[in-house]
Amino acid sequence: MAALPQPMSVEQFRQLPKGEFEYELHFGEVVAMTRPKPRHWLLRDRLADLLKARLSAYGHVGVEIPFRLLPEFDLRAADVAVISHARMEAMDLDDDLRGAPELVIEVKSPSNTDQQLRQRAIFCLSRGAMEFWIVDTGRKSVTVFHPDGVPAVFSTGDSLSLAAFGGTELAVDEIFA
Amino acid sequence: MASFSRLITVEQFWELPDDNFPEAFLHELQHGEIVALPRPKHGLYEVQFGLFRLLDARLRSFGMVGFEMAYRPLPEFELRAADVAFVSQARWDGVNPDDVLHGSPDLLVEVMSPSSTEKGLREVVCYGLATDAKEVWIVDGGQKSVTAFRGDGVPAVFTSGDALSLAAFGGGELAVDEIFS
Repeated sequence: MAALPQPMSVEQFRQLPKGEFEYELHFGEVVAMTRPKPRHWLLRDRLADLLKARLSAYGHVGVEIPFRLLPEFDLRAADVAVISHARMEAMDLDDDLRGAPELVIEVKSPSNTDQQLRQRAIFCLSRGAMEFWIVDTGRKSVTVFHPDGVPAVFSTGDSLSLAAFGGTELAVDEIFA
Repeated sequence: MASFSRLITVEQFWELPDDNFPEAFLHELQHGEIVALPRPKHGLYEVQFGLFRLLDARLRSFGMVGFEMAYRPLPEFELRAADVAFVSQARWDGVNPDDVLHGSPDLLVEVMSPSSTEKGLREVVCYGLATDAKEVWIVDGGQKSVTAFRGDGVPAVFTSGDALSLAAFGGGELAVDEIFS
């Protein structure tokens, strides 16, 4: 028979000593995250810069943005996130964002499985995200999930619409240039 | 490398023809995917149904006690069933007859089975407490125990001789020995 769960609260998680790894709290479980390689964080930072140039009127664009997917037992970070100014103004700056950012972007790493990313997309789209992007450096593609669950794949020559965030568009080729 | 498949919405799940759902299994929508769950064997069923009757006798004047009650812990891509559940009358009266309960039941009871995993149970507890459940109980027929999780997530284990308070749902209590008698 399965062991009983012992979910950890966000407060307990915050009091853990710093370790060798980055950690996230997923449904009450502490999960060690590998530190990103340069290919990963260079792309992440580039994407953030591209979005900052296009979406500053809409909201804040940042990297490694922590957010509380659930009110309790969960604290994770988006590789790149866009949070509207309205939500930023309502946010307790001594806490983390409640719910998911409006746009959550994950740069796919070797440790990510498709199932993990799909689940993360669902959680985010159910808790405030309007879009969830998965950036695949190997395929040079971006998969966009909307709240209807239908993924759209964009690759070289395509452009991603930023209309949901008050912007225009972003060419895939610019991301992987 | 395979591309990402579409996520199944609750509406799409409801519209699937019956031949997608073999009767040997119960089906839930978890993370946008259809998951087949084995039907409980006799011993588990007895515990589950017995608990339903015990709670119904104590709480029916405060709301609805259900068996295999469907609910949507998240607004989309999730449709699950609680082994046993209690929902306050006010919430129950607000459920759209063409939909199911949104959020988790006030009391969500999961009876452990051989197919239960720690990860799955943790997800039920965390989803539940984060989406309207005041308490989540995990019933272990092997250990004859009930572990109750409340808002802080700290589990309290009740065994033979103990009684579970039902104060959060209207009043009274339930002896653990009655559940496993």
